[in-house]
Amino acid sequence: MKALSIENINKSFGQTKVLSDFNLKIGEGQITALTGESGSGKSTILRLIAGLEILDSGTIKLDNKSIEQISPRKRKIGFVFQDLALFPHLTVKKNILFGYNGSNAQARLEELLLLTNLNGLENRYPHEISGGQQQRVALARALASSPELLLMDEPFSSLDERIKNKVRAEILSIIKRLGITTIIVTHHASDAFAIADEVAILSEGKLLQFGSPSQIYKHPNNQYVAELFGSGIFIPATVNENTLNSPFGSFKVEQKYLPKGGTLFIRPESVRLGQKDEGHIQGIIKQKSFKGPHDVLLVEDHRQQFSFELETERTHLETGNHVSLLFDLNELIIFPD
Amino acid sequence: MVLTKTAGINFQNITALSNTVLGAYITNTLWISSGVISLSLLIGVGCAWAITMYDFPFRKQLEWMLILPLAIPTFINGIAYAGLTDYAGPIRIALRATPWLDDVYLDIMNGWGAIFVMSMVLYPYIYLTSRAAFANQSSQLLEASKILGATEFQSFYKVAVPIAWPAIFSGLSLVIMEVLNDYGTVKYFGIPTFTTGIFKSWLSLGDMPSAIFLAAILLLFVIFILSLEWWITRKKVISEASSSRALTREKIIGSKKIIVMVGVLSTFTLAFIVPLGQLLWWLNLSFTHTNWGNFIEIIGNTLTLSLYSSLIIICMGIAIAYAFRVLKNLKYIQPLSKLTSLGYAMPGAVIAIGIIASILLIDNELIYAGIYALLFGYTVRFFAVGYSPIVSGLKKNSLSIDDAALTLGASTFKTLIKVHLPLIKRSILVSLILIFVDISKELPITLILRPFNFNTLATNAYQFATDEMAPESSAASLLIIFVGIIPIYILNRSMRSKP
Repeated sequence: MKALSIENINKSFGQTKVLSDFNLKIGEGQITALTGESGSGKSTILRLIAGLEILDSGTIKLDNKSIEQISPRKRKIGFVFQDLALFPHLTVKKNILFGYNGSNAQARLEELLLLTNLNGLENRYPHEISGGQQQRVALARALASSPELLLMDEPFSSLDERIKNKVRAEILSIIKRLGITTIIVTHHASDAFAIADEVAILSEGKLLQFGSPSQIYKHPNNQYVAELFGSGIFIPATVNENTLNSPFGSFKVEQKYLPKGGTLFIRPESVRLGQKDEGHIQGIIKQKSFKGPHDVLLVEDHRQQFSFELETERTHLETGNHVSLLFDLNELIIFPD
Repeated sequence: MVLTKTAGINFQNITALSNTVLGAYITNTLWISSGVISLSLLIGVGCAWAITMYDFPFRKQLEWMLILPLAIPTFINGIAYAGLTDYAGPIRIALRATPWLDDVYLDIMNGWGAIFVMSMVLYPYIYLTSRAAFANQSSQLLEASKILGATEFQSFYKVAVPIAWPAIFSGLSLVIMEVLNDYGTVKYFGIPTFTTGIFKSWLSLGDMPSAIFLAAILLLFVIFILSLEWWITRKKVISEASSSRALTREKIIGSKKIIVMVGVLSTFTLAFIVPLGQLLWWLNLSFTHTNWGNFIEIIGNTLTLSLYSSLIIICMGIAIAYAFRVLKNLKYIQPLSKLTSLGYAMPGAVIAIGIIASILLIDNELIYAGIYALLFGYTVRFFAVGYSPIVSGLKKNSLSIDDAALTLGASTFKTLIKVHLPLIKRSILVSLILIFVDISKELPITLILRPFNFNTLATNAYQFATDEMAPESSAASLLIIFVGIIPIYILNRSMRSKP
C-alpha cells in the first residue's frame, strides 16, 4: 500500500481552468473521499492520477516517485468508473481477468470472487446480474492485478436509493479488508462522510478543507463546508475579547481563537431546551415543521425571529408555546467575514 | 481529380459538343430530373400523409410494403415496364385482342416513361423521410390548426408540409442523386443525358476531354444540390416538435376511404407488383434456356467484388473512426462523414471517368480497366455506405470503456480487437450487406471500369436487355431485388425503433 501526494498540479480544458496549484496528501491505506459540486474538479483529479488526462504542470507521486510519466497502462492503479464500464460482451469471469497477466488466473479469479461475494456468477454476462453485483464485478476487475491505488468515480450514483446503503457498506468492507489506499469521488457529501477516513472538500478547483469527517463536521472552515453536511443555523455576530454579541444577547465563550466578527453557526445538537428564564434566547414558537430527527422551530423573541433545529420529539412543544433555548457555548462555530 | 484533368483539354471537341448535343443533354437531364422530383414528391408525401394520418384496412402492412420498391434499381424497372408495354408484352397482347383498342400502342420508351419508371422506385426515399417527419410532429399543432378553422388540406400544406420540409428535402435530394446517377434507364429508353453523354464520349468515341467536361458539369450540378440540401436542412433544429401525445389516426370512411386506399394500393401495385410480376413471367419463359452455370459465375463475381470492396471499406472505416475516437477529436467525425458522403452523391460515371483520367495521367499505356480500378471506384462511391454503420456502432460504446481497458493495461490495439470489434460486429455485418446490395445493382462504374467480358448481376441484367433478350435478364434482376429487400428490412426496423 502506498501513500499518494499531489503537488501543485494545474489543469485546463481549453480556456477553462479546472485546477490551479492544487495540493493534497493522502496517507497510506487511507480511504479518502473527494467531494464537491459538479465542476469542482474532483473527477479531473481522479483522471489525472490514473493518467486518463495529462497534467499541464505539477507532479503526482506514489511513495515519493513521480508517476505522471508512466503510461496509464502501467501505473498499477485500479479504476472503478461511474458507469462501471463493464465489457458487455464478456462474462463476469472474463471481465475480472481482462487485465490480469499473472500466473494461475483461475486461483486469482476464485480469490476475487470470494472477496467480492460473486461466487457462482462467473459465467453470467453483465446484463444478467443486479446493479449491486455489477458494482462488485467492477471492483473485482479493478483489483485483479493488485493495484497500488484504487480510484472510484461516483461509484454509488447509478444505484437505486433503496440498495445504496447496503452496497456502500459491502464495498467499504471489501476495501477495508484489503487495506488498499483508496480515493472515492462523490458529489454526495453524505456518502463521503459515511465511508471515508478523510474527506477533501473542493470547490471550483480549490481545496476548501481536508480532514476527518468529525473534524470537518465540528470545525468547518467556512459556511460552504458547514452547509455541505449536517444542518444548523447562521446568525450574524461580533466578538469582543471573550464576549460574543449576537442579536439575541451577549455571552462569554471559552474558545481560544476567535475572529473579530462574522457569522455564528449553531449545529442542532448544540441547542437544548432550558428552564424558564435560564435560556440564551426566549420567545414564542411561531411555526413548527418536521425535519426527520429534528424539528425546526421558528422562535420569535422581543427583538427578532430565528429558526432553530432541535430534538423536540419528546417535548411536545406546539406553536404558540413559550420556549427557552440554551446553547452549548463550547460548540459554537464562528466564521470570520 | 476530374477538375484537375480538365486543365489540359482538347477544346475542339468540346466546342463541337457544345454546339451539338450539349443543349439536349442539359434539357433532358433537367426535364427528367424535374419530372421525377414532381412525381415522386406527389407519391411519396401523399403516401406518407395517408399512412400517418388515416386508419384504414391493411395500413400496418402497407406502411412497410410501400418501401419495397426501393429494392428495384431504376434500370430494372425500366426494362420491366418496357417489356410490359412492348409489342410482345402482355398489355399489347390484351389490347390486340380487344376489338376497339387493337390500334392503341402504349409507348413508354421516352422521357415521360423514364420519369414514370424512375419515380415509381425512387418515391420511397421521400416517403420514408416525410413519414418520419409527420410522425414526429406534435399532434397538437394539427389540432390547433383545426380548431383555428383550417380545412384538412390547409393544415397539410400550411402546417405539416412546411415543418416537415427539411426532412422531405433530404429524401428528395437522394432522389435527385439517383436520377443523376442513372445510366441504364435513360440509355435503354434512348434519351441523351449527361450520363449517356459521358459514356458515349469515352466508350464509343474515346474522347476523354469531352467525357471529363461533361463529368465536371454534372459534378457541379451535384455540388449545387448538396449545398441546397445543407442550406435547407440547417434549420432543422427549430422544427423539431417537443414530443407530445401520439397522433390519433382518423378512421376514414366512405369516398375518402376509397380514394386513399385506391391511391396507396395502386402505388404499391404499379411500383412493386407489376414489375415483379413481369420479371417473374420472364423468368418462367426463360427458365429452361438460361445458362445457370454462367449465372452462378456472375453471382460469384459479384460476391467476390463485394467482399473485397467491403474489406477495403470496412478496414479503412474502422481505422478512421477508431483513430478519431482515440484522439478524442469526436467533433471532427461529423464533417468527415459529410465528406465521405460526397462519394455516394457523385454519379458513378463521374467517379469512373475520374479514375480513368488519373490512371491515364500516370501512364498513357496502362490498361485502365480492371479489377483494381473497379474496386477503387466502388470504394470511392460506397465508402459512406459502409462507414456510417461503423461510426454509429462505435458511438454506442461508452467512452469509459476505452478508459477502463487502458487502466487495466490494454494497448489501444488490444482494446480495438478485444473490446470494440466484438461489440460492433453487428454494425460490420450491416455494413457488409449494404455494400453487397449496392455493388450488385451498381451499373455505370462497373460498365466503364470492368475488365473485358466480366459481368456482375447488374451488368448481366442490363446486357441481356440491351441485346434484345430481356427475359434472360430476369434471373439477375430478381436476385438483385431479393437481396435489396434485406437492407430495406434493416432500414425500416431502425426507423421504427426511434421514439
